[in-house]
Amino acid sequence: MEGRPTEDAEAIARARGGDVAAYEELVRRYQDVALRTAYLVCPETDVDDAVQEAFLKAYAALSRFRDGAPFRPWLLRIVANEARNRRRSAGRRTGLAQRATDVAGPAVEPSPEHGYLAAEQRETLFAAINRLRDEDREVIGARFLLELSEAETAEALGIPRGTVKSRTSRALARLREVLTETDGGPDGG
Amino acid sequence: MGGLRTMTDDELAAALRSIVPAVAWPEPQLAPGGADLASRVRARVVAEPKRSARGRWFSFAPARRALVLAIVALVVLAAVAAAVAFGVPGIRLIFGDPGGTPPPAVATPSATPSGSAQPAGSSLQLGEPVDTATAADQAGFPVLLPTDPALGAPDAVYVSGRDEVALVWAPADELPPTIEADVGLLIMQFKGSVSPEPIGKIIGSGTTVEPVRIADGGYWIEGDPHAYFYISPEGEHVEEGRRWVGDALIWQDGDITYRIETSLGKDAAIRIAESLH
Repeated sequence: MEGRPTEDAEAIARARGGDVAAYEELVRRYQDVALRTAYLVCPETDVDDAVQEAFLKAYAALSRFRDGAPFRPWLLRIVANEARNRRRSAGRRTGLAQRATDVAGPAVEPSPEHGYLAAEQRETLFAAINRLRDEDREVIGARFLLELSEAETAEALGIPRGTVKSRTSRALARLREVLTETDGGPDGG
Repeated sequence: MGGLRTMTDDELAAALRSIVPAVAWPEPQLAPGGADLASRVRARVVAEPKRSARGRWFSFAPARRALVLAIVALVVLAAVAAAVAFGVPGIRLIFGDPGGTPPPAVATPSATPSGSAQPAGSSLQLGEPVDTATAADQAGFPVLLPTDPALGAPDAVYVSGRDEVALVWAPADELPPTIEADVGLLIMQFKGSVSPEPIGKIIGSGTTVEPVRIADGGYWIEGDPHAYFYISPEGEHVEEGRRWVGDALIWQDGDITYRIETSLGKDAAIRIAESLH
């Protein structure tokens, strides 16, 4: 999922020359992060379809890709835009979902991969994320769920690089507000 | 650990990272035939060649190309509007009858002595080679010449069927060649009526357009070679038949439009422009 500048540059050059296999290789390299990005931006849409469309748009736009630039955030911006365009027709907001096994409860925990949050806290956190405005969920998701750098987040979400930090901290503050509203007790969830 | 709502930003960030494995992320789907996302994308790329990355703007089908041109025209209009808003008069240009008329049979003797090699710029289809006085007569406006003695008189003068006058200097010691090896400097002069119709330019990704203060306003256009077109009163775009030979300074003075193409750079182009007399 990490960017691979040299391999990317080669594959892009070949794809521009009409080598569809080279492009297929790029798609395979980035399809997971593309799917996750689309899901984060619009969890309600058919993300497989959105990502497929975004990859086709990226292919058509390859001639405008700046040589030497990182491919991953450039691609993710196209993906994010495609997913945003589908929000209006996506129907009722459901938000990010937990994996079924995790919802099931104690059987799968405590497990190290789930960190230190208790099941109930995790539930609360999901609910809070899903109550955030789209732009707050996007920036928090890009930084902490997709683990994009600030620079990548800026490009992928189309926001000025200098404001990623402040937007992230604002989104975290809102998340805390939402948690306070929903998380009644003195010690929270 | 404390409650979620009392966490610092860093703790909250760590809590968010910890739920990544718990998110029901979408998995790559396999189509009924077993094709994964990447191979489905590949199949569609092959099946929908219209969207191919290989197509640059000039290889688009005509309808698509017209759309691209129209969009570029809008962008240029916006740039002109912005320039006006910032106090730099925009160039508002439409030049003569964009449909053009066939080049008249000019009986004037060539500016170059017969028997010599082809005059500079002869491959650019700038029109008939004439002398400066004839060019001015035919164009119907005074043809201005740069007064810099280093440049001297043009090596060739042309007038086109649309009464566009072109002055061409061959490359010299102080005048490096442009994209065209036999052209060091090109100065175009032609009548542009003040009109709301814009001149549109195809600006490639490597091209910049910078407003400059000269006469009634102009632009310095630098970078990749660019073609240009203008939009007729009927709304059709008319492309000029050739690419420009180098970076260009284009400006309007009264009802005449001037264009200098050179590889000398902006400042030199402006000096030449200001020396025209």
